[in-house]
Amino acid sequence: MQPDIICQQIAPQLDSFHDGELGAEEKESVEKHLATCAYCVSKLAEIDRVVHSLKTMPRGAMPQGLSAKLDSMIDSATAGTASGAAAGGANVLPMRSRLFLPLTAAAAVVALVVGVKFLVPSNRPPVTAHIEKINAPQVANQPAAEQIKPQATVVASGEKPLKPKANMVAAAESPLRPTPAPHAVRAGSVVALLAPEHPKMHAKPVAAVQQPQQVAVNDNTQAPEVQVAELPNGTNSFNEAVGIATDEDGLYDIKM
Amino acid sequence: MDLSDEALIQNFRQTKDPAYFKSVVRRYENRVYSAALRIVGTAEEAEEVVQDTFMKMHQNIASFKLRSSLAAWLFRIMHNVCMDKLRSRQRRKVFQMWSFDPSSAGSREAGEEGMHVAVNVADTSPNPSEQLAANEQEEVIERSLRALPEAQRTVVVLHDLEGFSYQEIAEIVGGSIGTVRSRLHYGRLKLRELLEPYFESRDIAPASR
Repeated sequence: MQPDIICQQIAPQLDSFHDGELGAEEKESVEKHLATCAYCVSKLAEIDRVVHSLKTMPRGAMPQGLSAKLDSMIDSATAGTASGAAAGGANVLPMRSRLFLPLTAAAAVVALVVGVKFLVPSNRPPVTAHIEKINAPQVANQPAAEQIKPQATVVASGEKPLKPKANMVAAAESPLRPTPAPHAVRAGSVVALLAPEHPKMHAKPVAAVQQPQQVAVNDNTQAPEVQVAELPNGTNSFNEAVGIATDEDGLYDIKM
Repeated sequence: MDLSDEALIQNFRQTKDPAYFKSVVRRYENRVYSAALRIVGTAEEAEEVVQDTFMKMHQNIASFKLRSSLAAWLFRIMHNVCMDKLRSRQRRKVFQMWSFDPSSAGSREAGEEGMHVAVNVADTSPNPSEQLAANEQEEVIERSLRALPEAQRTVVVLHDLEGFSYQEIAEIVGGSIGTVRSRLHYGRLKLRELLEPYFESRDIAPASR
C-alpha cells in the first residue's frame, strides 16, 4: 500500500504516538488513521522495532577506578582543602582555557613590546627637519605659533622632483650652508636647516610654526607651501599626534 | 533504608557529610557515563564528562530546587559538559587543520593505528558480560547511533536509552518540546534507514504491539 497525503501528515506524529506524548485530540486522529492504513501501521512497527532494540542496549561499563576517583574528588571538594581544589580544578579546567592560554600570553608580550616602542621617547638630537605638504597659511593660523621662530633657509621648487633626503643629509653636514640649488627640492616639500646651537629641539605640534622668513622659490613657480622653523631648546621628542616623526638621520617628517 | 534523591541532597546540604553525596553519585554515575559515552563517543572524554558533571553538581548543589527532578538537573549539567567537549574537539580539529604537516601525517596515522592494535591486544574486559555487549547487533546499533547528527543522537539517547520524557529532555537540552519531537522523529527515521536492512537480513521481526 502506498502512502497518501494523510500518511505524510501523520508520519511525524507516529513517534510521539508511539511514546504516548500526543495530546488527546491528536492521538485520536492518529488512531483513526491507523485503523484504516496498513502502510502507517508498518511504519509504526518499524519505529517500535528500533526503539525496542535501543532500549535493550546495555549501558557502557564504567572504567575501573572511576568511582574511587569520584569519591576522592568529592572528599576533597567537600573538605575544601587546597589540594582538593587543585586536583579538582585540574580535572575540570575547560579545554577552552587550556587552548587559549598560549595565545593570551603571546598577545600580552606583543602588547608590551608595542607599548614600550610608543611610550619611550627618542633621545637622538635631530638636525634637519623634512616637512612635507605644509600649507603656510594653515600653519600661520595655528594659535601656538609663537613658540618657534623661523630661522633657517628654505628651498622649494615646483620642478624636477629630486631626492630631498639626500639634500637633507648634505645640509646636516653643513648646517649653515644654504641648500645648493632651488630645484633640488621637489614641489610641496620643505627642508629646514636647524641652527647648530640647537642640537636638541622640542618638536612641538606643527601648529607651533609661525611664518616663513627666507624662502627661495623657483622662478617659474608660485610661492610653494613652505615653512621653515627653529624649534626651541631643551627638549627632544616627536609628536605623532600631529604627524611629526624623526627617522634615523634625525630628520623630521611632518605630515599635515 | 534507601533515601530518596531529595532526602540525600537535603541531608548533604545540612550535614556536609560527603557520604550522602556519594550515594547520589553511586545511583547516577553509570547512567551519566553511559549517556556521555554515546554522546561524545570516546571513553576518555566520557570519563572526563562524568568527573566534570559531578564536580559541577557539587559546586552548585545549593542552587538545586528540591521539588524538581534531580536526574533531569544532573543530565542537564552533563549535556552542557558534553557540548563543551564537542566544541573543544571542533576547535582542536580546526587548529590541527591549520597546523597540518604533510610530512608527519603518515607517521601520526601509523602511530594511531599501532595504538588501536595495542588497545585491542591489551583488552582487559573484566567479565563475559562486556564481551556479550559487543555482539553484532549492539555493534550495528552503536554504529548507527554514531552516524546521527549530535542533536538528534542526544535526544534519542536521552529518550530511548535513558527514559526521559519529552518535557524533561526539553529542559535538559534547553529547547522546546516541539524541537525534541522533531529531533526524535528525524533521528529515529535515520536509524530506521540504517537498521532496517540489518534487521531484514537477520530476519528480525518487528516487535509485537
